[in-house]
Amino acid sequence: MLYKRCVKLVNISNIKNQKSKCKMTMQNSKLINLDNIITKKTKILTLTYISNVLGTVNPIKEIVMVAKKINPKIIVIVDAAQAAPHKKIDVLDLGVDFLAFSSHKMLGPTGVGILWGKYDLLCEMFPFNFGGEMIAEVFLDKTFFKDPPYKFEAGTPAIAEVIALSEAVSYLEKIGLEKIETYEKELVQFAYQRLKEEFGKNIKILGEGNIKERSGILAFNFYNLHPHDVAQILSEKNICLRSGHHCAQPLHQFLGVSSSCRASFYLYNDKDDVEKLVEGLKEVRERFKI
Amino acid sequence: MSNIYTEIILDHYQHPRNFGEIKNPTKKVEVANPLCGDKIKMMIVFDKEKVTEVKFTGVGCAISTASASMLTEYIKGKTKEQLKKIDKNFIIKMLGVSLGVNRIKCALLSLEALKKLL
Repeated sequence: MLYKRCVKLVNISNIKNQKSKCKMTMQNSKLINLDNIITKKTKILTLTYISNVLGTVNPIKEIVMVAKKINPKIIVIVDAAQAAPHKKIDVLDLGVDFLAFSSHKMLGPTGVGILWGKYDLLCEMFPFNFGGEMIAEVFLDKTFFKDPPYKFEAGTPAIAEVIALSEAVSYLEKIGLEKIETYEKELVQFAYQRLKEEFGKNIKILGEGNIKERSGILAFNFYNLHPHDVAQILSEKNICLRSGHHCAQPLHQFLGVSSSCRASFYLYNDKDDVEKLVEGLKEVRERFKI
Repeated sequence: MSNIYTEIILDHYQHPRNFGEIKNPTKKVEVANPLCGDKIKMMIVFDKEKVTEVKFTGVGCAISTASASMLTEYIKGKTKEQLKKIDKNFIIKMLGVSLGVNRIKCALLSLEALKKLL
C-alpha cells in the first residue's frame, strides 16, 4: 500500500523513554510505503497528526485504514497536540483508537489535556495512578475500580483548568475551526512568500515541499546564523520565536541541521505580524553585518 | 535584556581566535550542549604547568563561539593553577554583557571544556 505525504510518521516524543522500535521516513513528493513501517505483528502505531517542525498534516484516516488492513488488531494512537487547535477533528471518522492533545496549545491553561480512547480499550486498561474518586469498592484482598473515565482520574482534579479549557474550546468552536484552519493556511503561505521574496535562498524553510498544505508553522534557518542568536534579537523586538530542535532531535538529524527557528501562527496573528517578522529578520542581518 | 551582541562579541564570533586543530595536543576534550546542538572541541598543549598552545573547533551560537575564542586567547601562557581559578563570574566579566538564564549556558560551554582539560 502506498501513501502520500507522510512525514515523521513516528512520534518522536514517544521514543524518549521507551525501547520501542522507531522508524523515520520522509517523502515530500509522491508516495510512501506503509508496508515498510508496520507488519502484521506490530501492536501499536503511534504518530503525530501534525508535525511540530514541518507543519505536515499526516493523512491519519488513510494511514489507519492501511494499518488495520495489515493488522486488524493494531492500536493506533495519535498525538493531536498540534492538530486540535488548528483543525476540526472527528475521532470516529479518523478511525483511531486513542487521541490526545494539550490545553495550552489551544488557548487553554497549562497542565491539562485530553485523552480520548475507545471505551472498550479504556475498560481493559489498568489505572496508572491511584487516589480518590476512582474506587468502586475496596477489600483487604481486592479492589474494584470505577468505570472509565473515573478510574483514570485519581485524586482531586485540576478543576479550574478543566473549566477554563472548556471555555477555550467553546471560544474556538464559536469562531469555527474550519475558519481558523483556512485563515492560518493563507497566513503561512503569505509568510512563506514574503520571507522568500526578501531573503531568497538565505532563508531555508524546513520541508518546503508541503508549503501549500501545511498547518500554521514555519521552521527555518536564516543565513548561517545560530537559531538562538536569531531568536534573541527578534525577542528584543517583541517577536517571539521558538529556537532549538523543538523536541525533535532525530528529525533535525535527518534533515542535516542542528536546530532551527520556528514561527508559529495562530488566529490572533495577521499579515502585519508577518511584516514585523520580515523587518525583524532584516535587523538581525544588520546586527550581524551580513 | 540589553544588547548582548556587542562589537567585541560579534568580532570574536565572526573571526574566532585560536579556531582549528592541534596535531599532538597534551589533551583534548569535546563538550556539548544538547539543548542547542552546540559542540566545542578544545585541544591544549602544556609545557609542564604552562599552556603553550590551545585551539578549539565546533559549532555554536555567537555567545558560545565568542566565549571560546576569548577564553582561549586569555589562557595562553597561564599556568594550571591560574586556570583553576577561572569560574562562571570570570566568564561573565570577560564577555562584558549581561546574559539571561537562557543564554548563560552558551557562555559556559567553553569553561566546561577548560575544566575537563585541567
